[in-house]
Amino acid sequence: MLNCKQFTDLASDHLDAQHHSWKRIDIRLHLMICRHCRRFNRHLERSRRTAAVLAHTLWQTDQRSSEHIFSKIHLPAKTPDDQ
Amino acid sequence: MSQFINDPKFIARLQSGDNSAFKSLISAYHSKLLIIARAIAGDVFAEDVTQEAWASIYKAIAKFEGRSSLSTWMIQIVSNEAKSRLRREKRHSSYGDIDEVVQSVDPDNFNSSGHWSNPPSHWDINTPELMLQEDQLRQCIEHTLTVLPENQKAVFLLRDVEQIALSEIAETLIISEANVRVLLHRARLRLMATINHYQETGEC
Repeated sequence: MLNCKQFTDLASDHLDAQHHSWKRIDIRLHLMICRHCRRFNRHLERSRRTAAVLAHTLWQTDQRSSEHIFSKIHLPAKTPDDQ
Repeated sequence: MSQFINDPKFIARLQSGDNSAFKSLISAYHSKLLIIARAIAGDVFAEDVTQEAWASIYKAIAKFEGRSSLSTWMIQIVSNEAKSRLRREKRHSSYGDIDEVVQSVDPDNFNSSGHWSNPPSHWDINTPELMLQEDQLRQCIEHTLTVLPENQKAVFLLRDVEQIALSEIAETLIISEANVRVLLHRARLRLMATINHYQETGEC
């Protein structure tokens, strides 16, 4: 039977469903009887969801920098037919 | 995470050579590709590698067949550019394998039998939607995201933002799958600790 310390070490893998069935059962049994670990599990899941939304917008580039990056791409030279 | 870049109409614009669509793509993905390049090739080469990746993406976009999402396809391109830069420079991955000791919750929170002596506290702001409405908390999380070590940042980005499988992340970043899991655990615990601290004190 898992204790709480062991559960917290496995919690991230648990979110990613990375455990074999026997370990999953062990974790579920522990979560059934331990409200503190249920809370820990909830906090971890909500933290990652919140941070993922923020990361998506935080890790964007402003328009001016994007123009600059685009200008450094070597575009194919236009042929007379394109003119 | 749903994004405009996976909209077929947007992809059609890119493939027809619409440069303003391509600039929007750069705007949405340059920082993300840079994080991946940095995690593979290190800070010195990352800018260069990402710029080369954009040139490759621009040249190849017409041939993108949609077998994976556009973001996964771009991530693959920047990863390949970074790996070939490492080979050219005859260097190994800047991070390599990390120690697999799992960063855990402060052991002082548990008694000698491993049960909580200081259990997690109740969060007043307890849904992602409510947390996102709290300006100061957003700033705290953004700060933590910014100061995460580069390899944790890359793994968090690939798994929790881009939702890529752990095995694919390992291949992309040339680290073992076990290391991906350790890095992810560390990143998530650190982000949770930031939120927890804010919930308890109202400060970062």
